[in-house]
Order: sequence, then C-alpha cells, then structure tokens
Amino acid sequence: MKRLVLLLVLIAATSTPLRAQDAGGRVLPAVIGGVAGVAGGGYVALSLVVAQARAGTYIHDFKDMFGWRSAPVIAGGLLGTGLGIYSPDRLRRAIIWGYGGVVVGGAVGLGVGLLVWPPPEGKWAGAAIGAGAGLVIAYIAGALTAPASGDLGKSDAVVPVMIRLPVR
Amino acid sequence: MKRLSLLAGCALLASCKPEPPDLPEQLIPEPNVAQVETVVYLVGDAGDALEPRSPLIRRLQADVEAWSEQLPGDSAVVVLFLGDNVYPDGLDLSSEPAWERDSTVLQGQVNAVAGPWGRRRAVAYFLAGNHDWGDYRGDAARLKVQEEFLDRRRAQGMRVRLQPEAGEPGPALVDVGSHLRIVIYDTAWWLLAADRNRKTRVLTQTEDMLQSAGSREVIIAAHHPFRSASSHGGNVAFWRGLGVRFLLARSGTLLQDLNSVPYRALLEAMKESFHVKRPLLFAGGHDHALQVIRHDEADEPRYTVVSGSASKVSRIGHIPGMVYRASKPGYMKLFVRHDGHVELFVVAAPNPDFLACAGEGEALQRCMAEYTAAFETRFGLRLR
Repeated sequence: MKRLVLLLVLIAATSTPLRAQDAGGRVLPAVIGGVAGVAGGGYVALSLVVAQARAGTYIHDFKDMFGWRSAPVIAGGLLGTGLGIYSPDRLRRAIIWGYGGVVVGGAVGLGVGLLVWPPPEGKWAGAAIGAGAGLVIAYIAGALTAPASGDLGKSDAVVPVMIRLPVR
Repeated sequence: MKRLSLLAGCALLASCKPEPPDLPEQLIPEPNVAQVETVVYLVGDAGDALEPRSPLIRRLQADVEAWSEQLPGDSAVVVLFLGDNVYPDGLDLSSEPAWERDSTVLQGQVNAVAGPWGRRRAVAYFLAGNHDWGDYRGDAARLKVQEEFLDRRRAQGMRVRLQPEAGEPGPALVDVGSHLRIVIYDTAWWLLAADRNRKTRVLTQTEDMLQSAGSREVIIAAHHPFRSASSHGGNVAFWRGLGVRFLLARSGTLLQDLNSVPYRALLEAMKESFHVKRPLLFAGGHDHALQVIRHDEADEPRYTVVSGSASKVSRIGHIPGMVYRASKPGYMKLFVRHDGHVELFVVAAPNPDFLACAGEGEALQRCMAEYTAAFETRFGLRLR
C-alpha cells in the first residue's frame, strides 16, 4: 500500500510540470524527459538482468549492474531528453503510458512468473521482467500515438517569443 | 516544495522497518583447559584485515597461541578461515602491484598459527570464497596463487593449507580429536560450475563422509552459509540502491544470494545428504555479521553459524530460529570437551568501529592495544 502511494506521488511529480511547457519552452520537458528516461532505462536494465539470470547467466553483485549493463540508462536518458525537445506532448503520453505499462506488465509478469518459475522468487522475477517489457512497449506506443501538433518543426507548433520594451 | 516534502515523507515511510526482536542473552562459562580436547576457530571474510591495523587478527593470534600452549597434542587447535581471505579479487600474482597488500592480508591470517606453540599444535585451513576465485568464469588461477602462497608458508613450518585444493569442490575431510569431523567445501565452485556429474559425485562423497562419521559430530564448513539474516539472505532495505538491490534480491538474480537458483540447488542437494546423518553445525561466512541460528527440521543441520565479520560488518535482520546476532567484528570458537560435549562461543568487539585502527606510530600501537582488549566473549551456548 505504501509503495502504491509512493508510485502515485512519483507519477504526479514527473508528469504534472509538463503543463508548464508553454512557459518554459522545451527546456523543462527535456529535463523531465531526461530524468524519467534515466529512471525508466534503469528499470529496463534491471529487467534485462533478471531475464538473463532466469536464462542462467547471473550477476554476482549489485555493482555488476554498472558497466555495459547500464547502457539502457544512457539510452533512456538520451531518448527522453530528445523526445522532450522534439515533442513535449509525445513525452507526456509516453511517460504516463509508461507508468501504466509498468503496472500492467508487472501484473501480467507476476502471473506468468508464478506459473513458470518456483516460488517465491518466480513471481518477483516475472513481475520485474514484465514491468520492464510493459514499460518499453507502453512508452514507445505512447510516444507514437500522441498528437503531432506539438512536434518540433510542425507549422502549428507554438514557440512563445517574448520581447520586453521599456515604457516610461 | 509541498510535493517534494510529500515525496520525501513517502520515501521515509516506505523505508521504515520494524526493529528485529531482542534476543535473550546467553553466556555459559568457558570450559577449563582440563575439560577441553580441541578448539576450532571459525573466522570468515578476513580479506580486508591488514595485520598491523586489525585488532581482530591480533586478538585471534593471541587466542590461538594461548590455547595451543595449554592443550596437549598435535592439531588440538584448528582454525578455519571461512573464505574471502583476500578482497577484492583473491591473491594477485607477485609481479602485480596488488601483491604487497594482498599478501600482507593473507600473511596476517597465516600468522594466527605462527606463534611458537601455534606452529607445533595448531593447524589452519583456508577455504575458498567467491572473492578468492577472483574470476567469475570459473578460472581457478587466483586460487592457485593463494594455494602456492600457503604451500610456501607450510614449507616454512606453519601448518596452513587451502582446503579443498584450488579449483576442487571438495568435500575434504578433517577428523579432529575423537569427537569431531569437519567436512569442508568450496561452495564458490558449486555456484560457478555447470558439471552435473561432478556435483553428483560431491554429494555421494558427502553422504559417505556423513555415514562413516559414526559417533563423531559433523561440522560442515563452507564459505556460503546455510541460512542468513543479512543481505545475502535477502535482508535488503527497499531503498538501498533505489529499490534495484531489493528487486534483485527478491527475484533471486544475484548468484551470491541464498535464493539464486544455483545456491538454492546447492542447499537442497545438501539437505538430501543430511538425511544420512544430521550435521551438528553448518559454518559459513559470506555475510559480514555474526549469527547463530537453530534449526528444527530433520533435513537441516542442528545449527547454522555465520561468522563473516573479520574485516567487514553489514546490517542484519531476524529470521526464525535465530539465537544470536551481532553486526560487530568478531569470530567464533567451538570447544569440544573430552566427554563429547560441544560448546560455541562468540568473541566480538563492542561495535563496528573496532574493525581497524588508523594513525601511525605510537597512536596506532595505543589504538591496537585498546581495541584488541575490547574483544570479549559475548555469547556462549552448548550445542551438544
């Protein structure tokens, strides 16, 4: 229950500021996209490591997560930043759908894990892998299906320009 | 700002865990010399202890020497170094820069049996831990270097050896006195190897050794413990590593955790063997704490001890059957009496600050004297 509350707070914290995109241009969405991308990439890295372990290739220590295994963290950060600059609307949908993907994928994975692998680790492994897969699928789907109106270079994209003139 | 506070509050709430229950103090008096046949020391994870700065190593050396002097008979004192004898990657080659530090660490442990009486009456067995392998592909080269180091010291009169031999899984058999049998494994081999036939042979040999023990009580000694309430046993706070370490632990993804598939297979296989004869004790290190756990199931050893805080200390939780726990530097010793009774004692420092002394010269010597004297027997239990 506590974790559920925490998750909801995290969703609120990372998605709401996007409404301020018009005021802050694309810098804020880029930063949020980067942070969310790093977090999501971290989770994808975790899912890959869990999946690898289920296939028989283990890591020995938490520190082994660093190095090439953390490539999704960098990829996620770059992707999120890029998406934030290119289209804050697509980023917003990708993040929200991504969270949904984690929940749905995690639930499905948990069920599959229970069926496929011995307890109690099976359900955790299934949930971790499912959540990672759900995150990737939902994030991509969210980014692709969002309205293109706010994309960089589109004619109807509004980039606010402010000029200040001293008036005496 | 409000949202940030809420987020921080939630994080704190989720990370709060109830304190483990207090355990009743147990401390029986140490037997006198006339009652003792043999003493077995259990020292784990000493791979970061540099002799000139480690009060524990100094205390151990004095303890071993004192009992070696008092107990008559060859091999009346046995020291089991329970693996991870050299951090982080085992003993490096003498041509490498790490050699000086690595060899100083290992020599400190060898010196536990290098005193005038220790050389005559004490013997030390070094078990391989996962860090001693220094290689995750199953190449025993680093272990071979450690074995050769110990062989050279043995040639100089110190009775030390790597047991089982480098790259071998064991079990190695050591009978101590007339009441005790120690069966030693390289459990790191088991976790790294995929040779099913060899694993089957290990279990067959284990059953033979248990069967032929007769009236001797059996101690299983390995780096990896049978049970643990520390991080390798799954006691990981949710927020450690932003939840990643927690999920890795819960999903059995870390090979060195007790719930990884290969580790679980190892324990299950051992339990099968224990039907032949129930061991008195399973002694391991691996987790950096001091734990004594009593088991009730017939296919489990009667007790598990984790003695892995000779040079590192980590947090500890609680699991059913636990009768002692401490996140303090320390080691354990078993007294086997002439009448066959076996008693376990935990020698520990007051807190983790006593792991090592800083400073130089006189300040270092003062610290070493003070900290070494602070190690006391803090738990004592008759196992049989």
